[in-house]
Amino acid sequence: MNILSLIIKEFIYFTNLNNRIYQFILFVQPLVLLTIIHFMSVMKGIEITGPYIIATAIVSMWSYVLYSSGSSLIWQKWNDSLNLLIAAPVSLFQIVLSKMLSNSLIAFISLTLTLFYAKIIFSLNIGIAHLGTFIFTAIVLLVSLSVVGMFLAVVFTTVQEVYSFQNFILTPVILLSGIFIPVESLPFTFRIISYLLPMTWAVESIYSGLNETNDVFLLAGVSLGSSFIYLFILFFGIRRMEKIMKQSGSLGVV
Amino acid sequence: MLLQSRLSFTFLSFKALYSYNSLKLFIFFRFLDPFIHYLFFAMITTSIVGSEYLTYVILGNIAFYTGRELFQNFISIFRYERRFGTLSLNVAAPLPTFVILIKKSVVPLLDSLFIFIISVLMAYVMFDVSFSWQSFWLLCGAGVIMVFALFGAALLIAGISLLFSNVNLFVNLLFAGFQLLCGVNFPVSLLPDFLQNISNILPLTHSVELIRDIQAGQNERIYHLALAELSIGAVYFIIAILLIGLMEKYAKQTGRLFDNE
Repeated sequence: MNILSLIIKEFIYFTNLNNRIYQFILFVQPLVLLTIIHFMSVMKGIEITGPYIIATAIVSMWSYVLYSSGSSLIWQKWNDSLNLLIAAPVSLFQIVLSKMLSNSLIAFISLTLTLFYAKIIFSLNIGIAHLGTFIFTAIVLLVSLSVVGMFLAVVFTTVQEVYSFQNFILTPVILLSGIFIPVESLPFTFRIISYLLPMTWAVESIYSGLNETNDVFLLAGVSLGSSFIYLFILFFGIRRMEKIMKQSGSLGVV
Repeated sequence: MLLQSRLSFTFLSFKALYSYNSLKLFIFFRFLDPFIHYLFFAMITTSIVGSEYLTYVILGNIAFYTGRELFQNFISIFRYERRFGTLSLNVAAPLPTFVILIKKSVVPLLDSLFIFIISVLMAYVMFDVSFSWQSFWLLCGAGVIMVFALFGAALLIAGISLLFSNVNLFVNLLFAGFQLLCGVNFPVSLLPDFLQNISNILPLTHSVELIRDIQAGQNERIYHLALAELSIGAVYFIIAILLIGLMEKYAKQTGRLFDNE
């Protein structure tokens, strides 16, 4: 019940039109990226295909999750409310999880908006053959994004210039997770890092669904499996962090 | 002594207001950040239209990134002055506000030129953008023209940004507009006619073309483009002087800088 209440409150906060930075990320950024990609394809004289539209949508989702989830805990620290969260009877893991779930819901809106822009403004053929499979793989992607978001939320509590440093993560993850360039074309070392990211498997699963290949559910399963492993590690990590903070009476590692 | 005094003014302004005045941040934001920006667009370009357009897009983004940082630095300077309450002291000082601003502009202008040169070298080494040594010096010249042409617009935009209590949305929309309208990733000729007319009066559009022409060794239009860019820059500069003069007059008459203060 607490989680549900927190999710709703977070959702209202981030979709509030007074929250200007998220307005841009949510509504304008997908449109800008889609416009660039559209005109690039016009420049080349080709028609933009479904996977590139989906790639744009994934970039928008990832940007949103990175900027919202990544700064969620440090933002509490800046507002002097992190100590209240630590002292609250609810575990910190539950609080962080609720934040990630609400951000994932909004990221799903970002995906829908990008597809809406592609269809209505640019009259592009998105090419989703099986809507059910697409929604399933998109949810798998959201789970993986949420887990990465949770991980970053914890890591970023140790960084002062969070908003600036988020830029250094945005592009490398897009590159490594095979959103625009297939992972197979990356050097071996990068490929290893790629396959350690749950997002890579989810992205491959989405593209497999679009290409109607048989390994959609296998890839989705690997993505979900790796996401839950990370979630398991995060559960113990956050619990330990919370314990240290409570024992030391300070914000400890943060 | 006079020179030392003038330089110390600029240096102190730099230390007090400039965002990246530590070595670590300087390396992050002057080497890594531009590289990541170019990498993102290189990735999209290679994926969608192929590597034959890589040089085209990277050069466009070098101009865009340089311009964006110049604007960002001016906006930050104004924002910090406002946040720390020293903006009103500038207006009240016996030295004209405009002269103070010019002095404070030295570091952002040099910084932008540095970004441009580093970016050109980065494009050569990392993204296989080829050019001769002669073209390199011409590119540096184009960088100087671009930075001076953008100076007026940067002052104007930084002045306007003071009207917003939350400047982030304004800044992001502005940069998105420049990216779409100035021919950074695709030719301006693909845009509808009315947008092309806007593109032609924006600073940066002609610089982007100038840089591409120099790199391609097509020198027929370069003087025309350079002159067009400098003329546009001069118009923005005059408008910026007028705006700052008006703001100063308003501040002295009313005893405050903004309606909400």
